[in-house]
Amino acid sequence: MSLVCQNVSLFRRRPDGSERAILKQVDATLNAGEGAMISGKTGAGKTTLLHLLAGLLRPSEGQITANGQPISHWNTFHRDRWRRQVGIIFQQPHLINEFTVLENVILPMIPRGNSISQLRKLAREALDTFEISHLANQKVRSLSGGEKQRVSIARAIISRPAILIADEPTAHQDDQGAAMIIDKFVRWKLPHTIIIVAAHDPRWAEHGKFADKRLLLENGRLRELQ
Amino acid sequence: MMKAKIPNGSASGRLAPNVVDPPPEKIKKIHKIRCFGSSFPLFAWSVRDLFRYPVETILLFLSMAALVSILGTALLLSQALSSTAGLLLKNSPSVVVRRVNPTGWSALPAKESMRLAISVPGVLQAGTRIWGTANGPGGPLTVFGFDESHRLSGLAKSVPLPKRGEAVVGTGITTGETPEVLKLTGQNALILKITDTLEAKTSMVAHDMVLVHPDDARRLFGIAEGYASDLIVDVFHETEAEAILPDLSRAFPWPVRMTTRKEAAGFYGSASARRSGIVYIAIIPAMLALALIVFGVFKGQIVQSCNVGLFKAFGWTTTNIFQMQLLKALVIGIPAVTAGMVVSYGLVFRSGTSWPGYLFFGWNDSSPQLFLNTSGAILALIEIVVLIFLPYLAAALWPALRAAVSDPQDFLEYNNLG
Repeated sequence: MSLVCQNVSLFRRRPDGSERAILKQVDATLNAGEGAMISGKTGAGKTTLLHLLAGLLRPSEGQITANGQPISHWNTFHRDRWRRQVGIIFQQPHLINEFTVLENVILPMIPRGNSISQLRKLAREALDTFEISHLANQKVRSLSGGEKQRVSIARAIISRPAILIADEPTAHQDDQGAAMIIDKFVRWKLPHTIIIVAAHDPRWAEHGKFADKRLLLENGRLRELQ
Repeated sequence: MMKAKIPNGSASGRLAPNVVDPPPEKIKKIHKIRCFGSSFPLFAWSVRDLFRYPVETILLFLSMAALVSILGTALLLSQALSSTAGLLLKNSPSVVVRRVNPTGWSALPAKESMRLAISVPGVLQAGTRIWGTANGPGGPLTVFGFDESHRLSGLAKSVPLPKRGEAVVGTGITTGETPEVLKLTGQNALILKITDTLEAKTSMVAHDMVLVHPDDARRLFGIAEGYASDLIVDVFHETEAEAILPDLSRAFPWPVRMTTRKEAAGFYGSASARRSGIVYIAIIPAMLALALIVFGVFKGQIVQSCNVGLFKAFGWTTTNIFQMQLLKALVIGIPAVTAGMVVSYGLVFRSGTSWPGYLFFGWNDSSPQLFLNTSGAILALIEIVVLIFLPYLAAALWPALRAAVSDPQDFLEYNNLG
């Protein structure tokens, strides 16, 4: 598996009608087994780049390929199917308040052909990973920010995705919680997976074991740090 | 072509290796199996989703069922009235002839009238009837002198023959203090013993009818022996009935008024149309209620569009989202339409329900028994589907479909998520 950005640019229209470049001619190659860390100031475009890589957005120019396939040019149906290989952790947890924790976690698996007992088992395993299986039947609105973040990570990994994309996954965590999450990310670095994390959090840098590739996003341009 | 990976193995805390894509020749077979297997969790999820908001779901169900029952009752009544009138008119004479005078009508000589009618080319047979209106305990009633000759028509075959002093009554007849006895007052008074009740299927025309022996009818109305109230004529070809009316009129030496079966059908048809029109006016508030329901469902779906964006971010396809919304709509819609139709069927066709008779004929007691043919029932069901079910389905599916074909990012930005 490889994920490649080729000359990717993204423009957004301002209210006055002019266009603003969010990303400019971004080139990057991410290979299976790699952990990539994207850093940059607030508003640098990290979240947008992650959403492009996850297939949630289409670039204005350039293309994104996965295993040589131009996913950014695919039609809606094929991109929907392709996203099943991606686990995404949003900056905000984006959980559905009316659902229980368990229902939020199994959400990605509902249309994939597993039985209900399989789904429950997978969800319990994912929640166990973050020691929050006791929250399974609670409504999301009763959780703390840190718990919500862990539920959203459990939801992203339940399908064992080939590409895991995380936007500030430790933002709402105390030191102990952040250490646990970073440790899990290090353990998930397997030969067949690509993990991309965007974070300001210095605790990622302190850990040191995760990032095989460090990328800096500045003024819409991406460059690799040595 | 990349395929969705089905998780396998236990991987507490680890991302398990992904399944390798099967060879292309096996993909189709596996896809079939998975499609079948995947429908149940999606169905369970859809039902669960509905019951996250139980009050809204139950209210929606009740509103839909009430709307269907109101509209269904009107449509079924209209259809049933038409069917029942058609059934009864099929058994009625081609032409009815009455002798008229400046004050109303008068009795006609039975044998001479029949002879004159038969002499007209195109007439197949002729017969006479003795009948009129008399006062009963509950108001005016139609009293009919009934003998063996009247049992020739299809509907009257099974009607029991009343003997002298006996009466066979329609389902809407109110008796006095003694249920088995009926007192009638016309030119003369009669006290009759009720021996039987007419079949429910004739109640649309025989609802307030009393069948008595012809001699009793003569006595009640003061009609002399050898005279009759009117003359009934059957013709060779039904289409010729109107054509022979001038000849028939000329055949009698006294003024007559004639009514054809077609005119009688027109009377029933216009009465039915008039009543149906009133019902349709009553339906206007129901249709406004439908508009409110549709608007509510539509708005609810728009609010949930951000959820659709999230579903898509996690690999739900447009088809999955459409299936889920369709299942949710059908889980409420089908039982609501079924319940509404069952209620309307009961209201229209259950014997003894009083309000349809009141609405259509102004009867204050039990209603006539109505009948529905298959084509009428199907037509009513189609009208319900088009008027209520399709707008509801469109309101439930359209916003979700719009969201489902867009980029998930657009809907995540609504963000009423936790």
